[in-house]
Amino acid sequence: MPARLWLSPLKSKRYIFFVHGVLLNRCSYPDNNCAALYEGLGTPVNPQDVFPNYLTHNSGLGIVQKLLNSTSIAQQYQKEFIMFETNSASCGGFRGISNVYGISLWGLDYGLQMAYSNFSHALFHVGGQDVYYNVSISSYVRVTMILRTIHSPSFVSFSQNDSLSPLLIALHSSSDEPVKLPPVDCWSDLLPCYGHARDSRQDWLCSRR
Amino acid sequence: MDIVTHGERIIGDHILGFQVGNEPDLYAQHGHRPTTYSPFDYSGEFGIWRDLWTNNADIKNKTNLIGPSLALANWAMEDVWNTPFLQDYASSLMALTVEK
Repeated sequence: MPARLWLSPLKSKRYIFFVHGVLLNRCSYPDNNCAALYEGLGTPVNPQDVFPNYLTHNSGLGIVQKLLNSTSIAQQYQKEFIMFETNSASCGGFRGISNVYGISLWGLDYGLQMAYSNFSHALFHVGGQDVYYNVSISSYVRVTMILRTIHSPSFVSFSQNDSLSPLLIALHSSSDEPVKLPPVDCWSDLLPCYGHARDSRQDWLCSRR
Repeated sequence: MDIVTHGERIIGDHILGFQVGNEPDLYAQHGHRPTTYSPFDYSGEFGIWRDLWTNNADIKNKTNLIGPSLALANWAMEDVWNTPFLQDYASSLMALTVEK
C-alpha cells in the first residue's frame, strides 16, 4: 500500500486507515496524467499547457467549492469531513508540475483553503518510484549512506515534519486545537493570503505564484 | 472482517476509522458493478457492511465507519445525501469523505 501523508492540526495523533471494498486505480484529482501510463485512458496532456491552472488561488477554491454544502452537512451531523487521496494529478502526477516548486505553493494554498472550508483532515497521496508527486525520492547515486533521500518540492507544503511544513505550522496552535484561518482580504488569485489571530498577534500566511 | 479485528488488535486506539468502499461512483465505469449501479445501491451495500460490524462480537468500535469516499467522477455528494445514507448510518459513521 502506498504511503499516505496526513495533514491535520492534531499533530500528536497518528492515523492509519484500511480500505474496504473495491480498490480503483483512478481518482478524481484536479487533473490526470493517465494517458501517459495507460493506452486509451484519458486525453494526453502537455504539462506545460496546464501548469498555469495550478498557479492561481482559483485552483484550490474550485476544488472545495462544490464540497461546501457537504462540509456544512458534516457539521450538522457532527461528523468530521475528510479529503481522502488528493494531489496535483492522478496517475502519478505530471513531470514538471508535481515535482517542482510551483506545486509547493499550490499545495499550501489548497491545504489552507480546505482548512478554511471546514475540512477536518486531508490526505495527500504519494506512491512508489514511478510517480512525480512524492514528497521525497531516493538518491540515484551512492551518497545514500549520508543523504538517504532527496526532498521534493512538495515536501515543503505537505511534510509531516512540523518544523519544515508551513502548512502544519499554520494549522497548529500552542494548545493543539484546530486554528481558524479565514482568508481575510484575499489580495489576488496570484497572492492568496490567510490570516488568523493567535494571542494578541495577527499572523499572515501568503502564497505568491 | 479480519482486517478490522486484526487492525484493532495491532493498531488499537490509533485507528481513525474504516473506509467502506473506495470511489463507488466509479464502480460501474470500471466494471466492478452493473452499469445501473446508483447511490441507492451503494447506500444499501454500506448497510450490509454496517450490519456485519454491528453483529460481530470481535469488533470493539462500532462507530468508526467512513464513507462515501466519492471520486466526484459520476456522482455528486448530494446524490448520496439524497439517499437514506446519513439518516440510516449517522450513528455508525465517524467521518464523511471525498476524494478529489
